[in-house]
Amino acid sequence: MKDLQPIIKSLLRAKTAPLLLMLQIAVTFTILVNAVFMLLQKSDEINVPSGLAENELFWFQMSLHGTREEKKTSLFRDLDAIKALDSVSGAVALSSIPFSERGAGHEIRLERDAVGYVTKAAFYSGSYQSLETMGLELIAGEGFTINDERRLYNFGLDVPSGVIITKVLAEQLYPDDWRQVIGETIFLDEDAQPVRGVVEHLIGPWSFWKNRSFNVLFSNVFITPEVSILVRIQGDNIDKSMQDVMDVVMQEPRRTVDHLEVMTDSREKAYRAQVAAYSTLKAVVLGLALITMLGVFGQTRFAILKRRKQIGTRRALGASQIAIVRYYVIENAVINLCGIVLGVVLAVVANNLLVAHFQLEPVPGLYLVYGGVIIFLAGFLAVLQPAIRAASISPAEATRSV
Amino acid sequence: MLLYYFKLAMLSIRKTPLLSFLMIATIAIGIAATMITYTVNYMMTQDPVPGKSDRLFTVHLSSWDPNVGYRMKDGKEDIPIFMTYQDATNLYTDQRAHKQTIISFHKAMVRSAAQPRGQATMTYLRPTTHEFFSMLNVPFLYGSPWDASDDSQGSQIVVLSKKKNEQLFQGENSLGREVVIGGLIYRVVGVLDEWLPLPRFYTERSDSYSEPRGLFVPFQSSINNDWLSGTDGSVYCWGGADLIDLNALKASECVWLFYWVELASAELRDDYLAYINRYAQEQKALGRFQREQMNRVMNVAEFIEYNEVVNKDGRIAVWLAMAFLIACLLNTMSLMMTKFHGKGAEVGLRRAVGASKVDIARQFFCETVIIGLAGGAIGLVLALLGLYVTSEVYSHLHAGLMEMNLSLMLLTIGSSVLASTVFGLYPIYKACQIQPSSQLKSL
Repeated sequence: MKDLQPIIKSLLRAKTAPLLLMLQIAVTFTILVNAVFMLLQKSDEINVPSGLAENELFWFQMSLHGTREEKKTSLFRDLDAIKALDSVSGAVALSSIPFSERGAGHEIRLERDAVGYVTKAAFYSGSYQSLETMGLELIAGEGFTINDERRLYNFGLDVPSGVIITKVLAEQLYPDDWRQVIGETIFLDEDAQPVRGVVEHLIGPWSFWKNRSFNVLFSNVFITPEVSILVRIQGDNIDKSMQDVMDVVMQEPRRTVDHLEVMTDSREKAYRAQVAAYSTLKAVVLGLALITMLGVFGQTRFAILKRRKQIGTRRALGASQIAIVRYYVIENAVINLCGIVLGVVLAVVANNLLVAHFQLEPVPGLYLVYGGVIIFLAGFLAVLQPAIRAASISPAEATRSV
Repeated sequence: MLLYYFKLAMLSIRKTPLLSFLMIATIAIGIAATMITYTVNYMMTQDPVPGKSDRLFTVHLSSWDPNVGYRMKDGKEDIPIFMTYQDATNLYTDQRAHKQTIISFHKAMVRSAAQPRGQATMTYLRPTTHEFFSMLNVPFLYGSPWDASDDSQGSQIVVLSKKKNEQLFQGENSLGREVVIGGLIYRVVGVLDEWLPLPRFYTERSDSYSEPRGLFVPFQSSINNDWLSGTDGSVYCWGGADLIDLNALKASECVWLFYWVELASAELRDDYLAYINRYAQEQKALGRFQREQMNRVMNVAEFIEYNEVVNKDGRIAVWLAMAFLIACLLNTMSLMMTKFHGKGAEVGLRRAVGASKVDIARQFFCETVIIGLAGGAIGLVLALLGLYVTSEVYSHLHAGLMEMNLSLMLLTIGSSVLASTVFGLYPIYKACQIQPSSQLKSL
């Protein structure tokens, strides 16, 4: 550590180059910490559990025709025919489809007259077999039975027949113990509904929505001129199942079908923008790390080039090779540390700006620590080679004139 | 003299190829990253109707449920951006703005009359009124918009986009030809030229950066045909509304139509809002509009802002890329220090034989300009390449967002030169400080 004093003295004497390097490290640290945090958040978003048996599901929208009674009859006739197929294990009519970007939602309250709402949640209403067909895992309370299923021309929320909600929504409503929610009444906008069950996961229709995991399920088939049908296949040939189902629904001559899609494709489509942003961020992080390491590397080489004579003199006066390496490694560590300290300040400022202007979440303090360690190690790696080269400078160098 | 400095600069760049290459490459990468993100963001935030956007307004009414608000936005009660059928048609019949239009949605199986039935494809349509085209400056390739009488009768006529005309009629002049929409015959009266307003501000946020719908039909004809589709647009309802057919929807308080007006000048905005408020008062007397009234008109820029059309990620990316550019420039600056330091002897010699500090500064300035130019040129190539890759990765956005125009290209080169000279100032200053004596002694 006796090197430290001359290092600091020499850094203070010729400060421009180390100052530049320090600034570069600080800026890199700032971007890196914020970008990596965003990257991890995006990765959480992309990999959010849907709760669905995604590989076994496909969906489509189909038109219904005639009077309201005819529409209802034809919907249930077709649903029964689809369910009877060998290649299908279940089929339900749903008011909206996960990942489809279309759906309805409510403000959720625990008191009807509460001024603010607890959260907003998306709303799925459909056949009583929705849970089984989607593949949801019921973790508390009870599911729907055939007696719960109503078949209306509206949402039918005025009748309190009960809803099933997701676990994260239950936790939001009852932070102390989410199980308390069973049997309690919640308000969907103004309509009171008792909670009869809780499912582990269910993704909402809007992938980009911050409340995408807050969802409410209800058992009422809402009959509209165009309905969405979700089908779970039997076996592993999804194309055959889709063909079989289309053969059934196209028997109605006026029928039109839209969006015939397997659930895995819907998910991919829904997260396209996020995945794209994810890859962009990754490229930025990678590029930055490389450029900075290059900077440290070039900088140290330059410093050594400048000081060949001094190194030679030191070697001639008896400094060991290790001492030379140590000198440059410590010098680099000092610059690095200063850069990281400045970087922490900048990163916090930048993050505050991001939080204020873009409603991002603040970076947890631990990231600053990790970021510091990583930058420090990268700087160490970059300085090693030039430092070792410096150590190999021959003492004879001291006697040369330039 | 300047020419001589350029010659010297070129010579110096050739003498230290690795250092020069590193400098140019770092600038190029930083500039490319900044320009890629900036281009996408710039294209996203352009004025979609230049020269008119301050006179186009969308009208939002407080027609919602007296018991519960429509929704909360930023801690305040918000009203729908859509209108009920009754209000849209009432306001449209009044004709109080310079121009006004109703914008609706529908989807149906569509084919040209010549195509067999099996070739019909599911197509998203845009029922609207004839003013739509002149209000949004939509260019026509063949024919023209329909007229007011077609709107009032609901004539079965259609305007096709250029792309749709290529699909249905191989791009020929298809005026007078027939298109079958959902089993009904529509006659082509117009074909649009290339038209891509970005962002596509007049409808929902999720559609902002995609292709406009390819078929336009008179709104009244969609009403005459009882067209109702709830899944390619939004219908928001309250009070247990029943959406089984169009008549139910027409009579309901459900909101689903966009309403836009063009005023003769932006100053008439308050007058028009006063008219809207008077209309709301009349409706209130009839028992509707029982909520606190917060009716509003929003111009194009306000609505884009309100609707959060411009992607937040995009703006963050620009800031990130700019910080990245700064890191790159700091790196370049270090490299320049190295380079100019290495030329101490040359500077000393030149100073000794009579060059002034200004001469030295000019010489090095030329060098930084050349490096900036080279960095800009390579950066431009990298940016174009990057944009191409981006348009592949961001395939859900319209490729038009990933194209640079001439001014953006000039900006790329210009900002590169500017950045390299600004960040070169200090190294140049340091180089000028070299004393002739100190360098000459050791030689």
